[in-house]
Amino acid sequence: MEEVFDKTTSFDETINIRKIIGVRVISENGHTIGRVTQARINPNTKSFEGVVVRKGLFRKIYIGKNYFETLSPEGVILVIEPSILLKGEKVIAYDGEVIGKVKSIDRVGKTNTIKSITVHSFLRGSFSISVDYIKSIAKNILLKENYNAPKKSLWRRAR
Amino acid sequence: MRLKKAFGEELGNTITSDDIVGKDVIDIDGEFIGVVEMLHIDPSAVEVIGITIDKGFLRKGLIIGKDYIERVAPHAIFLKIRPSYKLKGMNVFDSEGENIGIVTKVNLHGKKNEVESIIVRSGIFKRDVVIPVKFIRNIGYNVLLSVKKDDIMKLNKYAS
Repeated sequence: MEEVFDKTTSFDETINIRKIIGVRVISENGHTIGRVTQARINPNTKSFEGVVVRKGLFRKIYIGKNYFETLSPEGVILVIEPSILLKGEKVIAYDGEVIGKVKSIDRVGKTNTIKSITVHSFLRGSFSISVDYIKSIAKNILLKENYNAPKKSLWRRAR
Repeated sequence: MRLKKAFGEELGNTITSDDIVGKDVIDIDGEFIGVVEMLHIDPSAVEVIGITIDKGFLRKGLIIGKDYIERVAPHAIFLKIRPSYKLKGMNVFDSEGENIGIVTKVNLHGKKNEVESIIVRSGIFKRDVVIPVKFIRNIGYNVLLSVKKDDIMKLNKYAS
């Protein structure tokens, strides 16, 4: 193949974008998020910006290239655990009690940084927890000692 | 109050076996492992040395030493570790995201929770591949390696 380029990446250092369509996208902790359905390019800068990942049948997530660790025809590995996927995870207080499940996530803009989470439980209703009270996020969310969960109340729920 | 006098020490901050048995056990990832079934007590030192966890119906119990227990909370017991048996069944991905196979066995350093190597069933011929812990980059939902699949296969080819 003949090559014509100037101060940019040579042909050998690039990969065919078609080859990343359909590859698996894996989070930092090895969670398979889905498969790449689109590769997105900025027409102004002409550079590759990110991928659209299909999760399940209907959900699509756009992930910017800054969150990529590796990109190859075998798969895409991220440097993050996408916070938008925390929905439905259990929230466990410092005393070990499950105080509810994540209903929604409030992020800084559209980045992966969490500002707060909204938790819902049958007896406590919906309430927000600031990221400052979160001790760790993995398969479930563990809270710090200084967080006091709202009291269980049927009345609160009915209000 | 009589008890306090009889044992000669303050019992206000202590808990009983009833406070522990039947409690949920949560690992470092916040995942429920099971419930405490038994307490193990060293008869000579008369102190608790570990707990047995009931992982559920028809599943083998798990003994956890007290050094791996972070704290006993009112509603659950928190561990400092992710028990290594949980690696079994996880998918293993190489440094480029290629699926190598599924963990079928975990080799440990003695009876500690330190992984020495994992055995992965790989490919359509169900070949067992040994992966030393030094090649494991991260363990979470699945296992991520720091090397490519080819390097692992080469290593196993020379080893066999």
